[in-house]
Amino acid sequence: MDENGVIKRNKARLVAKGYNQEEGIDYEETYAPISRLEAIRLLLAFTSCLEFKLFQMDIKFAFLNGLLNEEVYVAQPLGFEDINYPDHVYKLKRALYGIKQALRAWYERLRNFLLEKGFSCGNVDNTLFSKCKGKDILLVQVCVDDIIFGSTNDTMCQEFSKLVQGEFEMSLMGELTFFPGLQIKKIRDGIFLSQTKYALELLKKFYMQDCKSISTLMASALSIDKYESDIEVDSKKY
Amino acid sequence: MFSVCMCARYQAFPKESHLKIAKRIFRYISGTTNFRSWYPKGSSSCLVGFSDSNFAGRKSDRKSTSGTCHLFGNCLIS
Repeated sequence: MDENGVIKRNKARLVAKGYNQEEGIDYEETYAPISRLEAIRLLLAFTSCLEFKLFQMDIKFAFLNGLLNEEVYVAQPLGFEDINYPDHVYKLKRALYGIKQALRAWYERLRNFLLEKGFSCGNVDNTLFSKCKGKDILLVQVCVDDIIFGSTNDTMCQEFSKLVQGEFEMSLMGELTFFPGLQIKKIRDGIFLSQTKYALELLKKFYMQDCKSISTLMASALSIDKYESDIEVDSKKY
Repeated sequence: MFSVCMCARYQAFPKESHLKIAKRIFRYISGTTNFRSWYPKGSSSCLVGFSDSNFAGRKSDRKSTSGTCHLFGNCLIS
């Protein structure tokens, strides 16, 4: 989906049943850092301050690139069993969608790759990578399989996209216009950030698109706790 | 943000009044769909933070409320 909600492509993928995995046997560590929205906004503010462009790319089948440290086996998918060996299982060399450590495996793979190429990882934000060359700087922000990057020097940008293209299968989406929930609009002397599409979708989901708007979020001097004697509602209804 | 978190705390055992408050948030959202944050070009690169807090302000359990905002140059970050 692009920023206007037009479907660009449909996807189908093989997914493992991660809920059958047991800790200690099938996986050990599943934590993986994901960049916060604040970090992305800070990056945007920084780019508008230094006046350089940000680009976005998307790694295709990102999780399949992750290398596994543990031994994991999967059963043959329903409907696609091998006629000769119907009882055999597959041993995974790489991560698969649905596996608990897939995200971590992918992040580690990407981090090791970037560190190898001379990038340095942020101390506070582990999803920000940077590379300095003289006066120029190249910033790379990783958000799962979306990579946002920008540089004060255009050739460094091109070098970086070639570098990643050589290692992973990816699609270059061009200049940053849409990031999960955020619409980014560039005009001549600045950047507009909006969540219009997300907000409209949210309203549509709860059938509230025609409601009267209100200027404040909450009534002031209101105490939620006071309503203990209030009518109970069915919490499963919504 | 604050009101959403406030409502979320009561979702384990919601009452009708809590839903009314949640509905009000949606009404607010519907009025602000076109609001945008503006990041002008070439602003200065200094980081400024503001905070406000209300210690033990809540009547029921004496909990405190605090909020912060950070500006990078002229751009609101958090």
